[in-house]
This record gives sequence, structure tokens and C-alpha cells, in this order.
Amino acid sequence: MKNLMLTVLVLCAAPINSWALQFDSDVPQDVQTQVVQDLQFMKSLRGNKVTPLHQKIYGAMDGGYYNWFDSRVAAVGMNSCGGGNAVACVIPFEDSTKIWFTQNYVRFDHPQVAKMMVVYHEARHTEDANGNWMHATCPTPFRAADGSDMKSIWTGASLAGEPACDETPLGSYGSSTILLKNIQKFCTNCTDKVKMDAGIFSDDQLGRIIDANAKADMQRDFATAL
Amino acid sequence: MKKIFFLIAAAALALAAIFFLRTHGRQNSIGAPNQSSEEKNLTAAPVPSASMPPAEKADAEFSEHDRAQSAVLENILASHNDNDMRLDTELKVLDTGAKKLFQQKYEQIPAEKRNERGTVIFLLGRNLAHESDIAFLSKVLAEPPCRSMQNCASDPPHSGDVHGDNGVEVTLAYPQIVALKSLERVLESGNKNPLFEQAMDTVHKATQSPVAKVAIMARAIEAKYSRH
Repeated sequence: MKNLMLTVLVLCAAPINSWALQFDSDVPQDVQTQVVQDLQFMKSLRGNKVTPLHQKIYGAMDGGYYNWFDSRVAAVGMNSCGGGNAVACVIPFEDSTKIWFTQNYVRFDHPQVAKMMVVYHEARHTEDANGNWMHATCPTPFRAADGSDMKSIWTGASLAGEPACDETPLGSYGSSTILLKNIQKFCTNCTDKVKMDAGIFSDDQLGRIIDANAKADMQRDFATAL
Repeated sequence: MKKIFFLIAAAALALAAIFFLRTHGRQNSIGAPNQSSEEKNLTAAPVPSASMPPAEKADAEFSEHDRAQSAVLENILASHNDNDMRLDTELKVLDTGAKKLFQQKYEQIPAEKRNERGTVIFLLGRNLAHESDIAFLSKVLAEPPCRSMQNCASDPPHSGDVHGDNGVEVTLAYPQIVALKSLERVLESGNKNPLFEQAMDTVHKATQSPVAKVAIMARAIEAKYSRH
């Protein structure tokens, strides 16, 4: 009986959050809970195929998304991330193994894959060996496929001349686009909503790839399955 | 020993009975002393009768299944889990009553809850069977633009950080984008679909949306299907 009681006590005392991530003490519980839930969602994803670029960046869609994140990010803190709309950021010159969340992460109601798109985009910025995948400057003028100006919803200003683009499929915008496009196309345990959202947001992100060859490579990649 | 036990049990029963009667009595007295008569009416338990107010009468048109689906929706929205499989099982097919409940739910959700609103539109959009279903999407597409994540009615505060904007423009237009995706599925099914013309008209109206993302997407859909 005593042994049974001890077992129950030990089980009750085990941390619910068994993630390797270290949350700073000032990260509110609701943010921690949501981050863990969203990473658990990523960890749960399975796909029967992936594209070659996905294979190169993330490997197969076999539960490894969390390991990919965990191998880059060791700590989680709270920060304003420049204020405004940001839900998360990485500040490489401060600590390139740390991701910062803002209150917007739980305050703003983004679709779940959209939040993960930002988190994985930011996690890519931790890679010191790749110069943190710094962004390219968007061209001037910077127009969408339909000819309209690409604008920041935040400032209302044009994105032309801003460091908010990529010239490679492997940078933060490119890699998160590839992540979402593969979820849209190949996830076998996603709801139709998750797949639809992944398609909506990946199509939007592709607009940030400004090098015509890089964009063409990605479009070819999306038509290929391993 | 037995006598003591019975005495304690009897005392406990008596206390429980007093507590029950007091609680029950308070419910019947309808509300606290400071409540207005209107508040008292709101807290009074509904009594099924022929003189039921219209709103409660309307409840009769919803089946148990409709209400169960509505409860599942509430549960999923509260969980913040977009990968809840019940979206594709228990909420895949909605009858007229459930659709009405979901439309009511949509209108109750604050405009800033873009994902919650879009989730409801996604579920309704998979069940477009009548003109009224398309009419509801048309209403959604005609909503005023949501200008910021904090408050749809006001402009966002200024910041020089374009990096933090990633994905925001799409989320702000999310319910409308989902509505257009749903209409596109009607158009995909071909012009023999009795809802084809109404869906095309609705997409055409959306080409004039003040929300750039919506107008651009509507123009692309219109161009793709106007050849049919």
C-alpha cells in the first residue's frame, strides 16, 4: 500500500511539461501552455511523402518537427519583439539559441499553422553557421503577382526597400513556406482546416521570395514528391 | 457505538436537507434583492409552455444533434486546437438547424477572433446547399475590413518592424479568404451546380472589396471560372 502511495505521489509530482525547452520564470503560464500545445501539434504531424527541399531542411514528416526546433532553440523568454504585431522573435546578437514570445502569441487569434509558421521562421534565424539567414532587401518597387504594391499591414508602408524578403528557398521565409506547403500536400493526420490554412499561408509567404530562380526552384519542388 | 453513528448520520441528513431547501428556495425566489425585474426574468428558469417567448420557441427547430454539434464547436474553439479530428468527423455534415446555430455563433464571436470566425466559415462553407448558405457568405465578404488584430475597428499602432507583420494581413482577412475558398469549391463543381451563378455573383462582388487580399483573390477566382 505504501509503495502504491509513493508511486501515485511520484506520478503526480512529475512535471506536466516534459519538454526540454527552458521557459524563463516571467513567461506567463498561458503562453507556456499554448507554446507546448502548438509544438505538440507539430510533433504529431505525419506525412507519407515530402518534397526534396523539405527533406533537405526538415527530413521526413515523421514526428521530427519538434526535434528540428529543439536542436536550435534552448530557451524561451518574453520580449516585445519590436512592439506591434509580432508574436515571436529571435535576437541573434543577444542569444541565438533563445526564442522570445510576446503576449500577442495568446492575445491574437491566428490559425495554429500561421503561428507555427512564424515560430519556425524565427527558429531558422538561430542558425549562426548560416549567418542567421538574414533577410534580403525587398526590391523597389515591390509588387505582387497581380501588380499591386506589397505593403506592410503594420505601418501601411510599402515593403519596398525593407529587409523583409529572401533570395533563397533555404532562408526563414523560404523554409517556412516549404514547411507549410508540405503540410498542405502530404500531411496524413491533419484536419482539412489545417491543410487549407497551410496552403493559404504558404502561398502568401512565397511572395517574399524575390529571386526568380529561387521561386522557380520552389515551385518545381512543390510539384515533386519523394 | 452504533447509537453514536446513527445520531451523527441523522444530524448530517438533517443538515443536508436544510441546505437543499435553502438553496432550492433561493432559486425559486428569482435572483438577488438588487436585481431589476428584467434581470429577474433573465435568471428565471424557462418553463415550457404555449406562451414561450419567440426566441425560446425558435429553439424547437434545433434537434438534439444540432445542439450536440454546436457544443462540439464551442469545445473545439475553446481548445485552440485546429487539428481536432472532430472537425472532419462530427462536424463534417451540418443540417439546416446546425447551420443556423453556427451562423448565430459566428455573429457572437468578436470580430478580432479571426481564427474562430474563420473556423465557423470553414465548417459552413463545406455545407453549401441552399441559396441562404451562399447569402451568409456574401454577408461575411461584405463585412468592413478588420484593421488590426487588437481592434478591428481601429488602425494598428505604428511600429517600424515589418518583420513582425509576417502573416498578419492574411489573418486579418481570414474569414473572408475562407469564404472565397468555399465559393471556389462550388465553382469547381461546374456550372450545372444550381448554386454556380449565385457563387459567381458573390465572388464578383468581392472583387470590389476594400480589403486588398480579398479583392485580389476574388479577381483570380473570377478569372479562372468565368470561362466555364
